[in-house]
Amino acid sequence: MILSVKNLCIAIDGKPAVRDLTFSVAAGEVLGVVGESGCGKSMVNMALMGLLPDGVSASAERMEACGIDLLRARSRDWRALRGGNMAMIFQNPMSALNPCLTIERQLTESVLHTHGGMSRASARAEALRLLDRVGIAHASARLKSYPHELSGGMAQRIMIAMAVASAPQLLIADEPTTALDVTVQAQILQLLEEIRQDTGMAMMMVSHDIGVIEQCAHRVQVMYSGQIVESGNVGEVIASPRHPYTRGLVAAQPGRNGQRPKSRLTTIDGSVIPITEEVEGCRFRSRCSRTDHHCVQPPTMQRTEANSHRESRCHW
Amino acid sequence: MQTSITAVHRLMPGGWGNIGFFALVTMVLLGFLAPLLLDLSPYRIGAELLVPPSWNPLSAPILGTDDLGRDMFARLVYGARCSLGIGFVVVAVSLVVGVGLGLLAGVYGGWLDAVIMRLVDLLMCLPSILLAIVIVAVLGSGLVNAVVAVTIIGIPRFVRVVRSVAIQEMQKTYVMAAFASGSSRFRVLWSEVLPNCVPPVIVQAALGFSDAILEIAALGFLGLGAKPPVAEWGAMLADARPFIESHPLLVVMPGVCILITVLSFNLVGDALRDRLDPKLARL
Repeated sequence: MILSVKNLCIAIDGKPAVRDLTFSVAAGEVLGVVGESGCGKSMVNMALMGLLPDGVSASAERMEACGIDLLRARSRDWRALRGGNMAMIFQNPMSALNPCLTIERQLTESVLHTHGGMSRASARAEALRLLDRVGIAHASARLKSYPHELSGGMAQRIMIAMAVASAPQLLIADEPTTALDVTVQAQILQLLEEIRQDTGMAMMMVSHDIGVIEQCAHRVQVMYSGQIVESGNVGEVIASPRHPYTRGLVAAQPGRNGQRPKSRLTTIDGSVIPITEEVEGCRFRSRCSRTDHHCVQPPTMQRTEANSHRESRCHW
Repeated sequence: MQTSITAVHRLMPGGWGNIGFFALVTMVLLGFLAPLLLDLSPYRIGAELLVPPSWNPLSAPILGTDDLGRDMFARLVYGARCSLGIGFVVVAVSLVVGVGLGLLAGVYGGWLDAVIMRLVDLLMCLPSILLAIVIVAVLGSGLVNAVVAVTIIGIPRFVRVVRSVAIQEMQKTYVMAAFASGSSRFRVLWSEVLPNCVPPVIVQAALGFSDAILEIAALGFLGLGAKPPVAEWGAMLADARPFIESHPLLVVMPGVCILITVLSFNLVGDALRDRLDPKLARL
């Protein structure tokens, strides 16, 4: 396993926010994480990178990445891990690049960080190769550009180039396509998939769009208000969702299940409860259409079929 | 040709700043080239005292002589050299120290931030000229000690500006991205935050120049800075004080020089701020 997490809890100012997350990612695998805004997806990423802001703390029974115990990692280990085996790309590529520096400076810096003793000239050559790899035309001209001269798609390609500069074993992609328009989104997902096949890196793809996850992930876990509510193989989960929340997410996609175009979209009533709020029983209860007396008990993850890997946090 | 024109254009602050810019260029040329081209002797004591200005560039004392018969034009030119040189040293040193402390405070935060900022508050809660007098009183008077004093009181402005920029930048995604790619905190300070501090620091440097010149002149006037016979505008003002009624030009001329220089730096500084400060940027 490249990444293995058991009972990860994250607290904001002492109040529990993310509750008992258990998941793992195998080499070369793409794990999709889906959930609406504020369900704790990004916080999990930050915890995995050791970048939680002040006042937010993580605890877990086990948290291992690339053979390193993250719970015991010191700042030196973290730095080696971050620039080496683990990399991350962000939601808004335009703000993830330093506006004052050229692409060349930023990209060669990433390259030099990975290959310590490399000369400037060979770092530049490596930067050119990376730009070529992520499909940027006129790479040498682009090196001279500043971030504001790039389109969003190009900026995200450059972020990907910086991320894969160290040939990471695990790439965490935090909503990498959310800020991009749909055609560019497809190209970026395609690019990530190509790189994954070339290098065999594992990916954790976070998105609020179950359609994106369906396109690129092997397995999916659905998060709701700080918990995993359903997990399993992407195709199976989307074809026959078990948890009412997943069902709602799948149904809320436009144009699915032979819906007529421009018909009224299906929605999930209500809004997500604040992640730090304590709730008795099931956290989805207030929005669920099928509540009964079982729902007052806090639900646990259960296998949905005897010999499958699918699990759901619902008694139905 | 085209590129050199754009290069000059990029250097120009624009608007009123251009006037200040040209005044400063003239001042620098006068101060640093005139002594090489002309035979100027600011310390030679002439036979004729208090000669009125001839206002004629071809006849000897263009701006007259002072109470010891020294050539006023030569003294003013050397004074420009002195003021601009001192201004440059003061700004350069307080910029480096101030930017360094500001970055440390803004990027590392915590107790380091608290210590640095309380020290800065301490410096700022005293009127700057009073503080300079205290420092000079402790170190002893003289031009070098005056420069040290003015440098110290020039530091807080840089610390404050840089710290506030650094704190803002630390919240940005690209700083997070830099951390996520394994950069150390110092690396983030150096290659992510520092480049973003450059525009406001340039503005502060231009304004700091004018403050430094003014403070050095004030200390010179009070007899705590440059000592006679050094040709320094503030000291010249002080020397000419007894003659303010009989020969007012002796006071007016160094005063006007100080005024023009300080005003020019302020014009340039304000114009640069309009151009470089993203918060005031035109849409």
